[in-house]
Amino acid sequence: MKRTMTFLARLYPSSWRKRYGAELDALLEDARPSARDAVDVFLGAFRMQMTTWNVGRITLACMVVGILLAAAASFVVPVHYVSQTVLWVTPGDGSTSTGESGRSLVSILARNIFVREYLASVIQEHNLYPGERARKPLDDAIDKMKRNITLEATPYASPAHPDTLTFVVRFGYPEARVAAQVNEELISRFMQGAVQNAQQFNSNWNFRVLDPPSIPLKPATPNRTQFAVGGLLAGLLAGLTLAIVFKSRRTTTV
Amino acid sequence: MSDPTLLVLSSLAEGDKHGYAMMEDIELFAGVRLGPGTLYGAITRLEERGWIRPVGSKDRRQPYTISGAGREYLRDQLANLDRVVRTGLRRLKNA
Repeated sequence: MKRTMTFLARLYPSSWRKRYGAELDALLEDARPSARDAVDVFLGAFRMQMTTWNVGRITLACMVVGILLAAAASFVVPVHYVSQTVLWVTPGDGSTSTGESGRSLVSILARNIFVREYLASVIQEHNLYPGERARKPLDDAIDKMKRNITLEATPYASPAHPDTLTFVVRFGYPEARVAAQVNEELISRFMQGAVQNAQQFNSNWNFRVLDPPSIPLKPATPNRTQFAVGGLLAGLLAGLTLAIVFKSRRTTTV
Repeated sequence: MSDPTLLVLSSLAEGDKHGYAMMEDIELFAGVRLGPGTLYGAITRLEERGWIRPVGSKDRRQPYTISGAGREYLRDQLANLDRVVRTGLRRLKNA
């Protein structure tokens, strides 16, 4: 404890130590300090440092701490890879289909993907979410899988193809290869549904895979740049707040 | 009462003391054990305001004495505190 206290006493600003250092050391020798005293000395040194530092130095220190904490947090956040497939849904030659009916078709096919029995079979086939399934019912894993699937249909803005839709399927998973495999499975389910529903829509639609599911090389999360920027901004905010608090206390507190 | 500055001034009102003696005295009369960091934070602020000053000493254990301004400040603060205490007690009695 004596060595700890000696180290903690050295954390005070050097100008303060020149004036009070010897007395504080003598007090620490006499008082037989406890762990609580060690925390008290650490906080005392921190407060004293804050009162001697200017606003810029406090803010800069907080920004550095913010970046370091954010970097540490980015290594704790689970890695998530997102595999993506892009389809083009276009009316066939001579078809009178419109973008509106195309969107209805895409909506029905998308619903077809979210059928619980189908998702359960994909989960079991690819052994997805083994940790969750060991602790919780399969329904929880299905709900999680639903959240990890993103389907987007947007009009393809081109005068030459006014009724064309761009359809994007994304699936996120901690393993890049599995994310791509499941995405491929989802696309094939989508295509099967398109064939089965062709009669119902009484129209002729072409599906073209523009961007096939590939194995993502980089994780989508955590985005370390975003973490660093977030840490920097949080540090800036915390630093300015701390500086204002300490400077105002310096002038008002007895 | 746990305001370190008032506790230190109250301790020095009795006579000059160094840091450890103040800690012991405060624990005795107020039942509060000031940590070394808290005590020296209070001493630093009080000396900056001229309410206490160091007394010449060759020992590392530096004694302090309360100044006239410090006595004045302590008197004002204790009078305020006394008013609050008496009002509180009276109201409790009448309740």
